[in-house]
Amino acid sequence: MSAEPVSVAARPMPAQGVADVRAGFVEAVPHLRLFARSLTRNFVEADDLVQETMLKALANIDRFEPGTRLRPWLFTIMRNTFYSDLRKRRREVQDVDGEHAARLVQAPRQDSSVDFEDFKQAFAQLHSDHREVLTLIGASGCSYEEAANICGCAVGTIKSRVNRARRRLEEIMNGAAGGAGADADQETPPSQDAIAGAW
Amino acid sequence: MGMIKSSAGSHNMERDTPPRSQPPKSAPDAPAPPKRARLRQDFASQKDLHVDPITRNLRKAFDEVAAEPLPEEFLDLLRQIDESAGGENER
Repeated sequence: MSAEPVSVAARPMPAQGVADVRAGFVEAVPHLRLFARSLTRNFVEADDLVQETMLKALANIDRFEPGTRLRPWLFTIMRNTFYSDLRKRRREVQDVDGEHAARLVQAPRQDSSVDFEDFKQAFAQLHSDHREVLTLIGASGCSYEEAANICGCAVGTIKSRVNRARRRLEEIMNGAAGGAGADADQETPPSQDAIAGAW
Repeated sequence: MGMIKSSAGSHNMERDTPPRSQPPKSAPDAPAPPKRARLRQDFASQKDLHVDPITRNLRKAFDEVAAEPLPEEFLDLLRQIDESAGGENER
């Protein structure tokens, strides 16, 4: 995934509200980066996705309703972009069997952050649906309603996903602390980058 | 770019056109009455004391990302927004 060169100059924004949009972008960037990492499990791809999201948002800023929250709108754009790109890439590239599994090397850990490292490793093994709801609600403070809008499903679905995700995370951390036990529901095993870096 | 109009409630993953932003059902940013706000703050601080490990680690993950410097590409984008706004203001 690679974002196109940055260019917003060709699409001048109305002066009114630009400062708000800019401030909203600055506030949203860490949330977007975290959400992008939970989706891609790759630092570089995540930042490309954030950039692509911001460019799409700017190009369609007229679709943003003043008075509504910018961050959930950006999350929705990001999620749609990610899954759209993912489908395109799946059509173009076939992963080599076992390539990801072969890279399942445990990252070196520092004693002071063993718990957090265990958590990150367990998190990387969750199904993508579970990673995204935990990130949106647990880390970025979205409401269940906002998460439901972003993910395009019912509030009840989000609630049950959160419950299942938390239960699965606890199972992984309790049952396979530090190990790379795969989530039975997981679509692909996490890469080394996913375990070591993608939070 | 051509605009594809879609209904506000639709969340089809297939679409490439960003959706319209959604108004919040309630107004979470609206100032709460002082007494209720105080109670809410007290409750929040109590909750923080007993926050579960998963929530604590999720927040820590966010704090780590928030502490990272912004990539130059993002700063370029913000600068271009500023320039775009400046150009409009000069008209």
